[in-house]
Amino acid sequence: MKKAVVVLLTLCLILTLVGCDKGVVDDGKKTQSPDVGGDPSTPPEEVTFDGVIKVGAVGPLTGAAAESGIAARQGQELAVAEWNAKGGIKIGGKKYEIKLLYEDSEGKPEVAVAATEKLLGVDKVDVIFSETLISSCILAVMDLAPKYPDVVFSTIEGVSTGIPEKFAGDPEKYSNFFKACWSSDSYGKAVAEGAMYLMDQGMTAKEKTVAFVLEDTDYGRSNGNAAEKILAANGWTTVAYEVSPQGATDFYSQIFKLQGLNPSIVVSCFVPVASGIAYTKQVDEIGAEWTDIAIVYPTKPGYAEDTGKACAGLFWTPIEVDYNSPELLDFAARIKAMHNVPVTKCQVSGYDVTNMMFEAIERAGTWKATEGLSKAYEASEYNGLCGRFVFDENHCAIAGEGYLNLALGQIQEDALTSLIVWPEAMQQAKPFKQK
Amino acid sequence: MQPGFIVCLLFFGLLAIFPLIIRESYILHVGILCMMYSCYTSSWNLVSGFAGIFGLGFQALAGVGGYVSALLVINRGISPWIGIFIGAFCSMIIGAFFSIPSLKMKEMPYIAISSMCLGEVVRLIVANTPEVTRGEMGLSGMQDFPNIGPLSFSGGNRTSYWYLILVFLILYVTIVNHIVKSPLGRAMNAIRDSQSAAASLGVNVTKTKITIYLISSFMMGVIGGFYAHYMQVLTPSSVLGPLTMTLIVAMVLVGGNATIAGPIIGAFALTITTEFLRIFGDYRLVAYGVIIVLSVIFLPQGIWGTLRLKILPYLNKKSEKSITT
Repeated sequence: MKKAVVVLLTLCLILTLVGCDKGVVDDGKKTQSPDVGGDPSTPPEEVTFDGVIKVGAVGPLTGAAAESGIAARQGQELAVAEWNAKGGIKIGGKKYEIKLLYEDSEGKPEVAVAATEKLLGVDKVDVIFSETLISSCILAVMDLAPKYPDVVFSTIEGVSTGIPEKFAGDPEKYSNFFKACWSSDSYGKAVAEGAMYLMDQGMTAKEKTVAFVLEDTDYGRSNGNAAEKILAANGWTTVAYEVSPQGATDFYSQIFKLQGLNPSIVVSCFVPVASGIAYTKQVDEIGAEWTDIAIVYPTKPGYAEDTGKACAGLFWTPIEVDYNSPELLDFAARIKAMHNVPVTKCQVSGYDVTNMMFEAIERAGTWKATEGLSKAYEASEYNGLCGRFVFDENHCAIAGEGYLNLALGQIQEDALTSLIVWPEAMQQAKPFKQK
Repeated sequence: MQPGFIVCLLFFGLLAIFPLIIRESYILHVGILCMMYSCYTSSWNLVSGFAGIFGLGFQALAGVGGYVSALLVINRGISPWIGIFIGAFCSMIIGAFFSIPSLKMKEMPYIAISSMCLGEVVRLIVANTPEVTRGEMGLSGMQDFPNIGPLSFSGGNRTSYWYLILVFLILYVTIVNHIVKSPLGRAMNAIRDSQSAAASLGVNVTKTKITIYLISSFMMGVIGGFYAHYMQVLTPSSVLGPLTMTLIVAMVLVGGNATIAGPIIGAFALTITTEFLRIFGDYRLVAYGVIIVLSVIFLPQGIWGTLRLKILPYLNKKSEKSITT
């Protein structure tokens, strides 16, 4: 009897979870999983495809980085839907429908490798985005690239400098592997140079002291380390380097500690928005007087709404996209129509990189790496919503002026809009002093 | 020849010829993970199942083995063949550091909590020494194992790694079987059933517990080193995180505690199930959780325990009946 009750409760739980699925929205539009060939945009009736190009993708759809992984997937699904709606990829007068097959890496290297092997060996995808976000998984998957020389591998994000270093160790071996994102040294440069600019503009206290409050992940630590290195080379002193588990929401002890040390600038980096919201609110509550520079969490949906006026004046990076531009507003509307979620930076990255790949396939006239796609993708100069994608000699996207935008912005007094304050060439508003 | 031995021979024979029949890299990778987790679970089951010491944090011992081996190879140019055993020796030292003071405790909850803390301490040390371990930025640059005769490991040759982990698995099963049937094994069983009764019969309880813990630590460290050179990337969260230990515990429970075959069956079952469930798409992990819950409810002795205690005797009874009628 007891066992029957437990089984019944388990079934009820499953049904509840399935019922919470957002796949079917109230307005009747159905978002189908792309791996069953779903295409939410109805292609024109007259389009008939001559073939299929299978595109694989492996990303963290569960685990600590799931929020970003799912967002990247949403951007990729939109790109696939739009290409199919306009007739697919055209090669040699033929139209090829794009089929996106997605697998979960769970954020673990061995699972990412298994998922990638499955897509390549069993599903026989023609092109693969693996792994999309997590640097340790990317490093593990990189070693599959030489085993599948006909397939182009691309990441969406992933900032570890270990990736271009591994490429540089044997460029021929990894010739079909690409990292479509900058590295943490670019992040570090933006944070450090932005911090020095703010000091020059009188936005911070005069002492060259900095503290870091970071999440204990590759993303948090590598970005923090990169910024610390450049600041130290310019005479700055790190007074504290605080690390918390990813997803932590209690920063009171770190904030009280920093209050005692009184740095001029505190650099904080969290991927989960909940951590960013908690940190901002707690800093505001305690009334800390340092200048905050945030990395990535202000880009997440819900941050401005949940922090309210507490986030006004916050400096943050990366502003890769101008969320007020007509292009981004249009993109946001399309993402909302397809997935019923607000726009985030990871969706834009997923969208841009996927479009860049499809454009390269059309330009090369092939999806095979050895028959020209590697060279075509390598030679990409793609103008996306994030900026201009160009790969350097280590197959790593370049960040900076004229390339991918990596600017420092400030949340304005209305606590809702952000404007670029650095670099000056892209400046949309003068910085003002945080409270 | 005992039926169990025949089944064992058949099982390992099948594993030995498998890569000659199936060449698909994905399937070989999953098989390597199955065998790797089988080694983990067999090592842990020696301590938890046979000796009754429900220690957590064993992933730290595997992780130490992996990191030490990787760092020796990267920084000192030592061969991975030597590195994994030095790494395992370091795991044993960590195991000694923990077990000597802690295993004097009799109550299991205290051992569980203190061993869990060991796991966290090791993870935090590794994560917070990025100048040595590269922390969460990931340690990579490990070499493949050097070739042995016709077995080439370069380029991540799945077949060669298959045979290497198969050799480790056979060794581990042999070691566990030998220990269980030895006086040490009998002492372990006595301790598991009642530490006081075991002590009254002359068993040196603390010494036995520490001995078995050290053996298990060494075994975990060797496989940790294997993992490091197979995956060629290590991060504290992926190697030293508590989720790895949770997986090992689940595999042993599903397969069957305090048996030799149970942990192996559990490791194969759950690893293959995780991959098979990809057909469920986004609901994969929901289905996975349901399967574990249902198997714990309906198979409380695990798959092997249920087979051994209920199904095999039932089949034997039926065949005896058909012979007599």
